[in-house]
Amino acid sequence: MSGSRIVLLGSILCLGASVETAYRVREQIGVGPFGWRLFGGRFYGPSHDFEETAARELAAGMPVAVENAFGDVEVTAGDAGKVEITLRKLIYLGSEEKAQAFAQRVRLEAQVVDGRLRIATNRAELERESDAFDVGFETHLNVRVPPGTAVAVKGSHGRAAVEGAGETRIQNEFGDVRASRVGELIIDSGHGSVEVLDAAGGVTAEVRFGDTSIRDAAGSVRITSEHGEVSTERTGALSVEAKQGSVRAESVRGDIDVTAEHSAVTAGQVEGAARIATTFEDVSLEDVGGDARVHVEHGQAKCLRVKGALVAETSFGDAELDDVSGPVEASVSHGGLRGARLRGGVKARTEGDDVVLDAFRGDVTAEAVRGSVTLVPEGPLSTNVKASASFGGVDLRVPDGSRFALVAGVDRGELDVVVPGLQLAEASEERVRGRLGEGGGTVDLHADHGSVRVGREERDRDKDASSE
Amino acid sequence: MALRFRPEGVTLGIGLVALGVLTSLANLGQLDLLRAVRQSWPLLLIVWGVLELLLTYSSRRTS
Repeated sequence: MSGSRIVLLGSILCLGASVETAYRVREQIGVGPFGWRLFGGRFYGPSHDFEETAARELAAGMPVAVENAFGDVEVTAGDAGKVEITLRKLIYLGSEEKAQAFAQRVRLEAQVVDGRLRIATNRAELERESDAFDVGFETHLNVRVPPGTAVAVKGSHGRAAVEGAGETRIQNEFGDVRASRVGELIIDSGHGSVEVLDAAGGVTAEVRFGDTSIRDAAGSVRITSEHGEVSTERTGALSVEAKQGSVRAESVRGDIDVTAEHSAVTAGQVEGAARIATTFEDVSLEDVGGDARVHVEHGQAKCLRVKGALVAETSFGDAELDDVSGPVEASVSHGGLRGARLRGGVKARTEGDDVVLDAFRGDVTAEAVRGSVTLVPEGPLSTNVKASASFGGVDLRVPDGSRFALVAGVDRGELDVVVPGLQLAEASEERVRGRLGEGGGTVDLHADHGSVRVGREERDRDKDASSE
Repeated sequence: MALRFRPEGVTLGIGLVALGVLTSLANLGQLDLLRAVRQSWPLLLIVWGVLELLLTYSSRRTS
């Protein structure tokens, strides 16, 4: 290798390494507007703590707005008719005297603006002063408001917590958010986890980087989440849009609607309808009171105990459906379908693996491409069944007491029909036509490059064997 | 016909043009330069490798 090539290769690799390092450093470490180093939105170094308190009368129904940067905000329920504020100032200066002098310049602001009590500090004013520019300081606000007061919190680089307020709006950039015993709630969170406990109204949460946990929300819940886990428990109707994080929902008093990417979805005890769509992860859905629709790309779907109709579509993953009262439509690409106790009829299609329907009721249409179809009715069969398979067989178990007209055929396969009482109208190696009992539906079975087997249900055969 | 060029020279040229375009777009506020360079710098290695293969293939056919 020539010298110029070695130099160019080294230069490209150095460029890549430098860019990669710079990118990672930029994401993790920043140098703030102050001389003090900031790591993840926090100051580091020697500091001194000072406290200032204030109280204001609050007219009934007047909302409270708290604005802060570099510090926590905590709002709790206090006495009626007044607001009590505690400002804790954390000054990052080595000398206590200098820190105290600086702390006196950090003022609490609480005044009525546009019909609401605005609580903030004079940080912006201090940051414009040249000598204050080199001082890092945090302002932690603790505010006690009359119970049920409407509260709006706007923060950055610090935790935001609200408890015992009415209608609540929290906007926070860096830091965890917590709200408990509040009314209608709106959260906009940048980087940090979000926890909501006991919201009397609806909840709307937009979370970009962090986990979201919502428990006991009386109203409907709407969550938009990126890069974080979502979990909910005991909520009203639930709507979730998620990317890159799992979704878990338990006890939904209404419909659930989840649209996700790269997210596993687990939902249980849904009183209303369920609509779940995700990619590259699995879906598990249990105990749905209404209809359900599940769409999974590159993942499996498992649906148990659905009272209404079920539509399940998966690709590159199997579908497992159990105990569905309504009609089922299932489509699986590059996977198989295993259904049990599907009592409202089934339309099933698979590509690449088998269809197995155990203890079904109602009309059945099953098609397997490069797979087999196995059908076991729950009781005597008298409904319409149409099953076909290519490069796979069709196997139908017939319980005693069944009534139907049979048409079975094969292309390049074996035909094996052994059902006691079946009256044959036509029988050849490739086609059988006949009738079992009076009335009932039509059973149409066909296999291409596979066998068709129609035989007595094994449970009935075992029963006879034991009685003999 | 044999190809006549120096792959490292072409790669360097493409790299400089790409860096100039990305920097201009970043100055116009159209993209994040650091992120764009981070995502696209391995393409230089691919371009270089393809050019080397082309040159090798071409010289073998000629000989």
